[in-house]
Amino acid sequence: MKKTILFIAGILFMNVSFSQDYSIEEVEIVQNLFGAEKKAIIENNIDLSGVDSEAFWSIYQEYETSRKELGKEKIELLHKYTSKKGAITNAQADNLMKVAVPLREREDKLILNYTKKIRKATSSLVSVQFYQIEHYLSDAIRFSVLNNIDFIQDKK
Amino acid sequence: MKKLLFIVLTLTYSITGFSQSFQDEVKLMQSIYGMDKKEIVAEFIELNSGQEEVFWKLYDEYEVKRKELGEKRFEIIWNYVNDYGEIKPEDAEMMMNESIPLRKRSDELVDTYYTKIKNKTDPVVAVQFYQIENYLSDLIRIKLLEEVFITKQ
Repeated sequence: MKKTILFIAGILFMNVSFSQDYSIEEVEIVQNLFGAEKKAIIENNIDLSGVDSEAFWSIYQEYETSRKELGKEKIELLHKYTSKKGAITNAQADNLMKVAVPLREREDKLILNYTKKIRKATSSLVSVQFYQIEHYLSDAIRFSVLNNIDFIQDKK
Repeated sequence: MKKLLFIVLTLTYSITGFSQSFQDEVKLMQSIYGMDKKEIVAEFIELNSGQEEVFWKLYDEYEVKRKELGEKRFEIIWNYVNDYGEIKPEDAEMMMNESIPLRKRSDELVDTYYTKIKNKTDPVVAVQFYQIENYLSDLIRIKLLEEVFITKQ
């Protein structure tokens, strides 16, 4: 339960510090939320005993390179449409979804492809842990961004 | 902003009661949000008087389908994760075979109703629906996985 409390404290803390800074990067969000770098979180939550850990980390690095690009796009998009003061038009709402849905699908596909790669190189269990922790972090980032900026409100 | 802050405050407040409320989705939601899901959605989505009836009709329809998927998510965790938050190696493959399609179906459900709502109301209402549903479901997913990972240590 200890970690949950840290996580919640992180969110509350970010309510104060994060709302003033729209240029915050994903790396910083993870650091703020969990008090650790992403790699350390992975090390703590994926059990690599008895499997080829070198193979795992090499695949993981490859995955991270692709994922970081998507992560950046995701945060930019969330800010672009949610930090705007005031109104949003129907046309803007449509445009947002044309970008947001494919982005979510790309991220899901990326996690799934690497889950399969990791399963081949290591074990089913390692791949489940990878799948879960990656979705967890991705959900937590989206949640914290949404929690700290204005949602789309006020129709034009 | 003010509309969302209360959720976080409730969340901190309710943390001690979490393990008891972990058993099913309705209880978990109640303990996290501190109110009915529908009330949160009602506060968040901006409907004009002509849109209310059609929106809530679609939303109720959506909720029936979403709840089935939500229960399934809990079942998977209960079936494959033991009291220590561990997954047995021999169950890992089966768990994935159920978890992956479930996530896909949940996303597809939101997408389908996004389109339906957009067609019957307007694009802004539909985006608000999409955002609040993702926000609330992220929270449930986060709490569920935290249970799994935290106890695993």
